[in-house]
Amino acid sequence: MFLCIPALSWLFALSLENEQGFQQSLDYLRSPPVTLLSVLLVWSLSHHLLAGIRHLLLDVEIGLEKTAARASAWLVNLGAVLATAGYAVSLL
Amino acid sequence: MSRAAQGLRAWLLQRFTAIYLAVYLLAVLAYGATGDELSFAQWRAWMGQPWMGVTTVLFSLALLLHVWVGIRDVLIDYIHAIWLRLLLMAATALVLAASLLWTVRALTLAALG
Repeated sequence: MFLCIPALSWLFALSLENEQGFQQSLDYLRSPPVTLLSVLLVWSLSHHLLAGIRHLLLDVEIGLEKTAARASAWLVNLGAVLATAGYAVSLL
Repeated sequence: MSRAAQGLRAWLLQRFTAIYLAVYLLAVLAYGATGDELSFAQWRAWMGQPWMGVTTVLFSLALLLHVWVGIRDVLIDYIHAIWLRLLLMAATALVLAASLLWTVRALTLAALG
């Protein structure tokens, strides 16, 4: 995720530069290797986001009991996979 | 500030930036999902609006801080050779700062028309 930041920053700037840069950035995003990378990024990011929300809830003492904490951990794993699957399907 | 308070500051910073990053990301995704595909002119006009510019610069800044705290913690925990740890920290800071400035530059140019 960290290594995607400079690449995304560069793509974002390119897309705002002019019409040509905009098309170019779309072409990059739609190329097979970048599309594959984007699926990996969506997976890691959705996992990170869900796990982060879980941690914020644990910070305010929601779901601290062992069974609840275990259940929410699985929910994070499952939710990230589902979100990634949804994204992958939307690409087809 | 004591070392313990510095740790608390990083901990708090990580949580506040996390909330902002999550809210911005979900809001933009939800907004983007409702609209049609944008043309270049629409995309630039959207990002050129003051409120998009300000919230996006804040997003980039929050991202820089969030990633810095996270990567720094990983480097402190796992890289024990001080010279290598400092080198990787410096490289991280450089990449993050350059990315932030490049994004701010793009948004500024878009805002100026």
